[in-house]
Amino acid sequence: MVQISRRKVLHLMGAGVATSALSAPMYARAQSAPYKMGFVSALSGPAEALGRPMLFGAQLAVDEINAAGGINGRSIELHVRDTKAKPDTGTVAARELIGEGCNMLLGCVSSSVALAINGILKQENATLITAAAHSLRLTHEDFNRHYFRVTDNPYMRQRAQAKLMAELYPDVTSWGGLIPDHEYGRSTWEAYRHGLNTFYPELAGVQPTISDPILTQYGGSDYRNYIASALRDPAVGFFSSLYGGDAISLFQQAKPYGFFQKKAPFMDSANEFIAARAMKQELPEMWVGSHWYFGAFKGNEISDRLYNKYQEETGNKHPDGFVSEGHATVMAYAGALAKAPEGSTEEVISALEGLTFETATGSRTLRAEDHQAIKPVIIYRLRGADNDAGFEIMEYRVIDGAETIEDATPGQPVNW
Amino acid sequence: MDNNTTSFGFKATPLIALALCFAAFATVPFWAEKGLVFLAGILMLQIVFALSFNLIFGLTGLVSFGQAAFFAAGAYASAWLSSYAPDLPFVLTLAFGGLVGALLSVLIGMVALHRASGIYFAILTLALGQLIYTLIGKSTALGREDGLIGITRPNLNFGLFEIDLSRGDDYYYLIFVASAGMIVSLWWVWHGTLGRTLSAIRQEPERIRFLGVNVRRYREYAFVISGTVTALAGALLAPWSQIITPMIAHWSYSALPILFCLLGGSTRFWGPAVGAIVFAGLEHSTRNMFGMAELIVGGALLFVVLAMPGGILGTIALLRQKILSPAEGRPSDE
Repeated sequence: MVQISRRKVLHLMGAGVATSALSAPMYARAQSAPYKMGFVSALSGPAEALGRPMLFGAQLAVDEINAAGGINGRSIELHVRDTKAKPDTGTVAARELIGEGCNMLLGCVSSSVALAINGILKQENATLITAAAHSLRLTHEDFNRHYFRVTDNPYMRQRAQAKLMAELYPDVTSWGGLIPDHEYGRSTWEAYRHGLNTFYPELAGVQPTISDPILTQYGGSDYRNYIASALRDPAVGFFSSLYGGDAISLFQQAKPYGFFQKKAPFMDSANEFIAARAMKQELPEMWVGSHWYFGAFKGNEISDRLYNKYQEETGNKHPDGFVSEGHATVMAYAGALAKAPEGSTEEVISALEGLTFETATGSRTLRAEDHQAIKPVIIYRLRGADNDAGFEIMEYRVIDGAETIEDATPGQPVNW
Repeated sequence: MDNNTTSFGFKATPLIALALCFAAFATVPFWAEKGLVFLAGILMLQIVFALSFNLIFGLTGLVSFGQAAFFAAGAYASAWLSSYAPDLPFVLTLAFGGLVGALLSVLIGMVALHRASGIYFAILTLALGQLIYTLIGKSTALGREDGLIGITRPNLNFGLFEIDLSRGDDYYYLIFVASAGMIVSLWWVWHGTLGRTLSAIRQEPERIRFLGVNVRRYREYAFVISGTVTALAGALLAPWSQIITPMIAHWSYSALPILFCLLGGSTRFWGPAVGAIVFAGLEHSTRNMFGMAELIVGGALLFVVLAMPGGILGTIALLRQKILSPAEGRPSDE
């Protein structure tokens, strides 16, 4: 039998008291230590134009929250890493951030990067909320509980775009596509094609003719062969989901061929004002998908504040939707942390599921089943113009996200 | 300090540096955060990649721009096999990666070394390497441009017990042991009879041919050994990074070992390892200078390559020589 002397008990008690006395300040420090968030997005390379505004929005949200006293009395610390829109660089950046104690990751322009980081989240016990990265696989085939998306997805946006085309251009019944040969490109085309096949018969009374898409390389510099292939294609209307520098190169190289006169209407998946700012008066007329258009949400307090702040700090009067999405990722975490003050990964996941929070496009809800946000889809028509900006917004549409969202089938393909 | 003591100190320095590096890599998980541990694992595999490449570059005198093809072949082959047959022992999938790399290097070596040398050899390896890159990027089974994602870390089954390599730093230590084994093998080749023959071929191929040595055959040996070890490094990378993309077959990835060799010094066995460590240090310390990082790293590399023609180790050796025998290298007084 083990004998325990009184002296031993006193020693143990003394050690216990000492440990408690030492650990009390540590516990207090943990309770007041900042929440660490890790921002991972493209801050250099062809997708820099998408990642920079995203960082602006996220940083602004962090600054606003900290200025208001933080969450649960704790401030937010934002650690930033560049993914260069490359999956392997993205996973290195994510692992490094997690190593620094950032179990709440946010950002991501590219679906490939998000899919890559998604693969390590469970093992590394972290969460990721993406502000773009539209691949449907993230909330379907490759779904895992650690991933959330605060923005729309191709099912929502591309089907809304296809529906709009069927409403406005019922006579344009042949369509083609220029898409990047990676997950995002294939997801967008699949959804757009499905939308055309659904809405043209329904709204225009005709079955559209859809050509095979022309697959382009990510990060390419010479798109003339692809443009020549597109010009040979009998399709009249064209859809493109190239983004950032790739899209600008494509548009600039396509213009001298009269591409945009021969292939109209032209629907751009998601370039916001990026190509317009680069091409200015040279911008051909096109419909463009967006995450947020400040003009459509006048009166929304967050939207107005974001717009004013962005304009004040950058001098740019046309902020891209990535600003609002970067802001929304931090707002989502802030909402979750208010309900889960410890900030542990498991608690944050539970708090995010079904969370409704305020953003520049109004209230958004993260669907509990597949972690997809229900938010509006924004589409506007742009063209080059003789004004200060060099382009103008001819018209815009805001489509309710609840009308366009797909059925939640986490772990399963989209139920088309 | 007398001259003998100085000389002993200098001779002991490389061994001390090597021991320190060994100790540093062995203890990284104890003192570094997760991100750095991950980068240290990548760095060890890049060191093996560069050392195996230097077998044909620094030792045999052949400039290949297609080395990444072997790295990618090993990585993709083992990752594909482990997803296709998840119950296969990890050692077999690893060996399969090495085997595919070996076969590819035999094929490319046969084509590229057949009458081609110098710039023609370099261009031919570049073209064949880019062919592999394009094939991977267009192959649906290999994930096209997105690559293979979510590669799982395996279990090592020893019959009586199992090691789950997905837990903690176990896979890091597997990389450590495997890299050390491959580096020792490469060191043995470099310093053995084969290495001396290859070195002689680099210096005087015609004279060696006159001595009755089949120069092409020996170059093929070097090419295949280099390709196989590179492929094994690639096969080890896949479960570590848990994602592989066609970029690891791209020519820009082939340029990495060349850069490491030039940076560290290609005429010395440890040169590429030094180059890889310095490059990783530069890249890591500038990673938060968004947009400027490439400029700074590029500028620093340009400086080293231009100002230190023998690389870092070459320059250190030169300085050591000057300190040990100061009269050497000076113009004679006579």
